[in-house]
Parts: sequence; C-alpha cells; structure tokens
Amino acid sequence: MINLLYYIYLVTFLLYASTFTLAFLNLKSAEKWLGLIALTANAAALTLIIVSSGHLPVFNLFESFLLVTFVLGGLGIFCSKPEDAFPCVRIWIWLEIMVLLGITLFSSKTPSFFSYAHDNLYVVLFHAFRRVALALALFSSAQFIQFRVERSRNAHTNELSKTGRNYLLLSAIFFLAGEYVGIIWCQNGWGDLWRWSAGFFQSTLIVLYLMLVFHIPGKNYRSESFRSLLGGMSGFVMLALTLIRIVL
Amino acid sequence: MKKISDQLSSLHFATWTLVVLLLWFVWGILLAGSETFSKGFYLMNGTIVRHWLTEPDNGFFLLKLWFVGLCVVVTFLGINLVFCSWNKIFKFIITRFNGPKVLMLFVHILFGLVALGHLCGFMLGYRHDAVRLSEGQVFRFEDGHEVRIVKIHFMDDPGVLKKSKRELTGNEFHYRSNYAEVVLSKQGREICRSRVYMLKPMRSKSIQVTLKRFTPPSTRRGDIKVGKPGVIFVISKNPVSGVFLIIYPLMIVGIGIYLMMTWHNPGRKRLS
Repeated sequence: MINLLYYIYLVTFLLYASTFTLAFLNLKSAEKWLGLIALTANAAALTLIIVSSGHLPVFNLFESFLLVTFVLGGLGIFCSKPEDAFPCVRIWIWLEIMVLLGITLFSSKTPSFFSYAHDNLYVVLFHAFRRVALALALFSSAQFIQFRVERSRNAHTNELSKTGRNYLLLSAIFFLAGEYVGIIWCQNGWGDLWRWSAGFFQSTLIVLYLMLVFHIPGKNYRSESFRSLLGGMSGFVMLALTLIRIVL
Repeated sequence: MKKISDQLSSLHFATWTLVVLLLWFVWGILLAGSETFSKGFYLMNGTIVRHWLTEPDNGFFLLKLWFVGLCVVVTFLGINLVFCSWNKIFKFIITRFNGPKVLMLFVHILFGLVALGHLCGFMLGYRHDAVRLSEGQVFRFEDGHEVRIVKIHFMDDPGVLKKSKRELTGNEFHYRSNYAEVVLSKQGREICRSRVYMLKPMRSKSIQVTLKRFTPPSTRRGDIKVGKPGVIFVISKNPVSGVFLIIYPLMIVGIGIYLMMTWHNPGRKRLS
C-alpha cells in the first residue's frame, strides 16, 4: 500500500510538472486536460492515504500538502478564468504546486500515524480548515502576483485584484473557522481558550497579517501596489508559518 | 480635537498598530523558543494571568514587560477600532444606508468583543493547572468547592502512559473509553457528578474540570508498577467563555456575509 502511494505520488508530481511545462509553453488546452489528469492522480493519492491510515489527510506535512495541492489545483482549473496573456494566473498556480510538492520531497512519503485524537471532530476540522485556508491564500497570491506582473491598471487587472481580495477573505474565513474549532479543542483538552505558546503566536501572526492586508489605506496606484504586494506574499507567509508549525 | 479624532480613526493608525503588533508577536515567538522564557510561558499557562502578573517572586521581568507591551498595543488597536467604527463607518451609515458597511460595523464590533473576551479570560475567574489526583482523593479550591475522584476507569495497558500524548496511537490509547468519575461539590453539597474523559470535560456553570492526561500507577511491585493510574486535572473558571464561544462564530459568519455581499463589487474604486 505504501509503495503504491509512493508511485502515485511520483506520477502526480510528474503530471503537475508536465502541466506547468505546457502552461509555460502557452499550450492552454493541453495544459487544462493534463491538469485534470494530475488532479485525478492527486485525488487517488489522497484516497489511498485515507484508506490506508483511516484518517483524513490533514496531519503530517506529506499528506496535508497533497491536500493543499489538490484544492489549489482544483481552484486553478475550475475557478480561474481563461487568459490569453503570458504569463497568466495558472502558471503561478502550477508553480506554487511545484513548490509544495518540492517541499514534500524532503519529508517521509507516508501518511501520519493514527494518533489517539485523530478521529476527534475538532482536531480534524482544525487541521482541515487550515489546509483549505492555505490553498485559498495561495490561489489569491497567484492573482495578486499576476496583477503586479501586468503593471498596467485596466478592467482586467482590476478583476485580478478583486479576485485576489475575494479569495484572501475566503481564506481568512476558513482560517478563523479553524481557529474557532481550535479554541474548542483547547478548551476541551487544556481547559482554556488560549495558550501562551509559539503555536498560538504563529496563528495570531497569520490573522494579524491578513488584517494588515485588508487595512492598507489609500486608493491610489501606490496603495494598490503595496496592497497587491502584501496580498501576493500572503500565501507564502501562511505557507512558511504552516511549515514551521508542522515540522517543529 | 477633530484632528486627533481623525488621526485615531485613520487607516494609517490601524496599519501601523497592526505592524507593531505583528512585530510584538514575532518577539513573543522568539521568547517562547528560548529555553529560559519557555519556562516563563509555562508558568503563565499554569495560572490566571492576573495572578502571574502580580506575583512578585516568579521572575521573568522581560516576559511581564512583553505582556504589558502587548496589552498597550492592543489598547491602541481598540482605540482605533472605536474611533474608526464611529467616525468612518457609523457616520457613513446614518447619512447613506449601506448593507456591506453595516456588516463591516457588525464585524468590527464583534472583533472588539472577541479581543475583550480574551482579556477577560486572562483576568477573571481562576485556574488550577496540573492537579494530580488518584482514586478517592479530593481537591479543594475557591468558594468552598471541591472535586472528588470517585472512580478511575482505565482499560488500556498503563505502560503506554509513559509516552508523551503526541506519541500515543489510537490502538494503544482509547480516549473515549478511559475516564474518571468525578463529583463536584460546594460546601459539602453535591453540585454535579459526571464522567470526565480526555477532550470531554465536565462543566458546571462556568467551572470546568478538564482531564489533561492519565498518569502511570504509582504503586510498585518489584520493578513493575501496579494499581490504577492517576489523573492530571485542570480546574478552571472562565465566566466569559460561553459568551466568547457565541461571539466568535458570529464574527466569522459576519465576514462571510460581507464577502458574499461584496463579491462582485468590493467597494473600492480602482484606477483604470
């Protein structure tokens, strides 16, 4: 089972890498179809993890990043608008997926062991909401990056900025939902709503960063640029803090 | 006066306060990562912050400075929240009614209440961390309350209790089957009797008895420990936790509705 998972993981990686190459070569139709096949392989890997481990793939780095790539890939294929421009939003999405899968190369390619609390609803939802929030933030980052790359301000780039803002706010909602179930978990397990620890501070850092992005003042070109810069970084800030939390 | 009011309600003020708050938490992460101050945070988690802060003998002056600084920065954010909500959002709504702006005001107010709820959680009630008890033992605490362990039921191999919680697998430790039967009394009168499981505490009004973990049996027969495991409880009272747990999801729902209302028109005029 573990060997099979390893092979499916490698196939998924290769398919995403090929999709990225096709996007880079501006072969839109082939890119979309190969992206769908990669997404199917990704879904197969996740299914195998669920079947073999008995829990949702949200706990260790390997399984949770495979879930993030799946959500991000799905968003890239079904929620990003077709573009003629080069580079386009999807290139950044495939590149982000490559970064995520690149990180998994350094982790053990096995599902997390079944910890005693891995079937607890709050524990599962806490991790699941965070993974979805990360995928949404990375999707939003891709929009903001493209917004910055295009430089000019017109209806199309305004649309990119708007989509970036919408998905970042959606990511914030999922992250806060994760925080809420995390608070209940903390209340049930440690008898308190809050703990003074690095993990809690990291979560607060993410919330504050998202608040900062939504509170940049001004409506001029400079403000838009700065807002898009912070928005573009949001997915990577969340990724870095998630990575620190999972690894440590 | 108006100039000061405008400055306190400005987005610039909010942005800079958030930047300082971000840096403050980065400092907090660095402190929590150091061996010396992680002990300080451990002590901070072990009691109510009000006690920790006023206790002169527990050292960690820098940590207290960090906490007071945190409160000061959050107060600035609170001031900005009040002024901004009044000057920028509320005054806008009364001159020109706008659904998303109402939602924005609602979310800002709830955010303020969430922050206030956290502060009340640090300052009100009480907390007894790491209360070690065995079957039949009693722990007495505030207002004549006492917790008595009637029975400890542990169906797994007690040997697994030497492991840390992170290492325990679902096969070797069944958290839904192991429990402590507890009686909570006040001045000798029974208030509540319940089974307390890990991740399933006992609650009576705002008093909560949480089973943090089981401890290995203490009786020895040769090299092997025999007898029943003990428990580590957290006994806490947070008078605002109930309200907090209602306000928080309302804030999330508010943001969700705001997002739906502004999905096609975020309300910012863009350059074209």
